[in-house]
Amino acid sequence: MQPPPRALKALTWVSAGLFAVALLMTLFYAPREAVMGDVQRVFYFHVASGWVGALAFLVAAVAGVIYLVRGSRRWDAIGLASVEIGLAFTLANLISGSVWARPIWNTWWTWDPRLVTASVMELVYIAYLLLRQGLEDPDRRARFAAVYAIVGFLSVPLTFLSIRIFRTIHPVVVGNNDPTAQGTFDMTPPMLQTFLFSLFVFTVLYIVLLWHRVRMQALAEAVEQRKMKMLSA
Amino acid sequence: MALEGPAQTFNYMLLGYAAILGCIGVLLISMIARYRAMQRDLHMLDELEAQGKH
Repeated sequence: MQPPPRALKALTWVSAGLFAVALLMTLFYAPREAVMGDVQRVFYFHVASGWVGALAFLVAAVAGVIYLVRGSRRWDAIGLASVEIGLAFTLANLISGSVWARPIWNTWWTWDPRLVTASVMELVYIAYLLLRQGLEDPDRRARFAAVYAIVGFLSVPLTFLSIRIFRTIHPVVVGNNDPTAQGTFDMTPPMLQTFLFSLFVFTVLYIVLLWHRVRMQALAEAVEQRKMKMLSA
Repeated sequence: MALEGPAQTFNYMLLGYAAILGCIGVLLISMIARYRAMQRDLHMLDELEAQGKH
């Protein structure tokens, strides 16, 4: 495998630095919330993780469409890589939300529409990986995975809109001026700056991880092909 | 009864950060472990090919 391109190396270090800055901002720049106290600081990375999860599943769906149109295995690799990353970040979102809920809602878990739809979304994409494991033929696996990623993406807007469609105790962060929103969330300027910076940093982190993971998948396929060649010789 | 100052939730904040950093860390470790395993496989394949030529 060729060494990583300079741009990827540089972006990796930049993302690590940005992540450290974002962490420091959430801890020291953003003020302590007046009622909830320090646990509210989890919000910045909690939402950013959820954003990366949704973005990753969107990319997987788009990669699925492009794979079905062009049939290039590269897009299958992008879809798989994106789903893996999305699963990790959605899990981070779910667990951190549960930790935040404990002191604020007085429970680790409640059958709230947002929590349920987010958990279902995570399960939908775990099933994506299981589906891939169950299919031997690479072309068939890629085709099924592409269709699954497109259909599975329905769970993402459903999760996003669940706090507007259903009665819920989960606060609305994006578009909370909407009169149909069930809850509100006011931020001071330092809070908003930290929030937007965290979203930016997590997006950069996603791009870096995706790039590394797609390269890894290319290596995995090369190793697999060499193994097959040796076995058939 | 009125609340006196913010709620004392520092430990929950630490737990929340641990959860987020833990998930990202597990993803990174998994990627590094798989990459190293593939490098080992490649090395082994090179050795097998070299033995086959002799």
